[in-house]
Amino acid sequence: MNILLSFAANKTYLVQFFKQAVGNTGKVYVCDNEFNYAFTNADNYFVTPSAYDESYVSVLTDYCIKNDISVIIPLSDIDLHVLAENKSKLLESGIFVVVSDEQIIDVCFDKWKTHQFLESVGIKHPKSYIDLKEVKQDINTGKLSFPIVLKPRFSSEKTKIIEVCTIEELDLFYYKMQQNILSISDIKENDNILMYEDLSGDHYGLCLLNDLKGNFITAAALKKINWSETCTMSACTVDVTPFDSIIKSISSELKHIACLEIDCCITNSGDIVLSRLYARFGHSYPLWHLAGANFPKQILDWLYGLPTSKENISFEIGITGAEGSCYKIIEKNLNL
Amino acid sequence: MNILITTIGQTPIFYIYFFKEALKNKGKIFVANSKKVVAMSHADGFTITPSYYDSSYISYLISYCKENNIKAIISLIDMDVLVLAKNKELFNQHGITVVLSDVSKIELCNDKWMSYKFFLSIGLKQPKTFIDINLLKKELQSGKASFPLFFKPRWGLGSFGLYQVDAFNELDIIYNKIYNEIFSSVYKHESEQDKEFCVLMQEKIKGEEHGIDILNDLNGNYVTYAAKRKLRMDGSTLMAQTIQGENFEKVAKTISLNLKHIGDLDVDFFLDEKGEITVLEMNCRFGGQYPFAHLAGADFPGQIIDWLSGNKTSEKYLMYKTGVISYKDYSLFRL
Repeated sequence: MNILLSFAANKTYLVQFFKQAVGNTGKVYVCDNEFNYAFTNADNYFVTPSAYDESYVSVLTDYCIKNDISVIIPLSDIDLHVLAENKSKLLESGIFVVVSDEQIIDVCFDKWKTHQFLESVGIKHPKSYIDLKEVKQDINTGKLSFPIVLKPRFSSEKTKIIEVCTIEELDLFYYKMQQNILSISDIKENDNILMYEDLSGDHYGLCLLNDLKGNFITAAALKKINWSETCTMSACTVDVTPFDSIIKSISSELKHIACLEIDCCITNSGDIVLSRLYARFGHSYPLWHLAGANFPKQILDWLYGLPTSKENISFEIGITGAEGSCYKIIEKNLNL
Repeated sequence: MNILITTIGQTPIFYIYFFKEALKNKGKIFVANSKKVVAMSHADGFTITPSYYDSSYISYLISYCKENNIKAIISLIDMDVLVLAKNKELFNQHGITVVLSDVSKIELCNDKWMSYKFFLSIGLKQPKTFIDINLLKKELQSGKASFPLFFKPRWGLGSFGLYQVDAFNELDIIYNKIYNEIFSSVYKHESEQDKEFCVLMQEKIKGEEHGIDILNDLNGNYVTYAAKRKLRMDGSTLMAQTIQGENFEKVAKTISLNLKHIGDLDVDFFLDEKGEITVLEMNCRFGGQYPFAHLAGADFPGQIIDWLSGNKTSEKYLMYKTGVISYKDYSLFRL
């Protein structure tokens, strides 16, 4: 089986995992709308139009047909929406997309909808706003206090997250972020900045694995260590039991497909507070893989019609992994 | 000969392999850090040290070096580099060479205002730069300076505390924000020495970002350079292409002859359409861009090891291919 990893970005490790999972049975192709590192270790790659371009889906379809690709697995937020929207159309051409339904993508991609969703299912999350006036009101009445974090409402890796500590900073950086988003973003919407209370406590990552019909299979947890920009990133696999109740409610409400990753925090008072949902493989998956899990293999097995295998979904608790950088020559002939 | 790299926790693992390769059949590579890190399992030996702020740090290192027959120490982390350089003499008395420049040169590189004045004094092009916000305001009002500006800590690394400033009403707010960020970070120690002037304000430089490694020998004489065009950045260099050119050599020689640093000097600069170079800043050590030259064939660690063994400069360590594009990748290691 040949597969296409779309918007593979710099996720060379996921390309590697899928190549191992596919083995001799097929090839792993990647695409992105600009050159990216994941191209370097794929069997083949191509540059797509923007995911917001009208031709995106037809370009992908043509490429898949030409290369006998029967599965697309999106790896970034960028094209989740358009692929979810065109899932049945792609299936008509014999291409299965490992992506959840549109409304689930919406809940994860639009951080304001994430907030509303968590509110509706009664899961704790940081006090969040999209209305600057409301933020100021709540500060004045003492309902909210600095520091406040500003980030783009719609997932975008290009805009820097800012922490503000005064009203003046809030006004200025709200304005500057607005300008920045308008200049780089393909999404034209009002209220596109999310403002929320800073979270302090221990940070965790969760992964909820559902089968291709949206049935819950397993969940995994990790604790983040030295989770700052200056230190090497490291994390440790931990027991998932403390998170059981939120996993249950999210899984039964969302019924997503394959991986859903979650960023959360256990505050000093012991509350579990959720901050983000990703309807795809996120940045935490490599640690569970290192600890013995093989979700890419399990997803391929399901695609072949095979049952869930214990070997693919189990992993060791107490495994610590850390990120190390290395440098590699790009040997492919690229037109940069 | 055995070599020690300190503060390995924040150093790219690749550097261990550069030195390991250079020491092949000649010696071992040891690493040190104040806590257990991934990199340790990649070296021939490792030790957990006190923090470099701790008074026992140097004596700990000296006894570790003696136990393991380590003849030279190197570091890539600025605060650590400074502490080691301050104790060069002491290490020397125990037969250990610290392969780093003198304290005054390291301080010049760490202080972006002093670096700016140094670049001007040796005739290199510089953007309009200020550390006095009132003077900046005057110049803006009289049209002698213009937006956009970049504000950043006078002492600080990478993109820490870096903000673009586009309008007059932003000046004070962003200035104060950076000031507060500095004094709640590790850079507060260096910034204490000139609290009133610890934010650097600079006109935006035109051109593409580039970098150059300038290699001097152990006596501070110019040896060679390795230049790169940076293709993708994220605080550090993510993707770069090696280049060569007379204009790069000229800048490298000018800096080297005037600074007389030891070993590698990591310099960032902008190259505009007319081929003009504006130097941004420099670090008195190996940095995040040398690996791109190494992958293209340069071997500065090999040359340094040879010098330490009393050998002469050899062309084979200095040559590199132009046009080689490399990228920085991450992988996860089990601790």
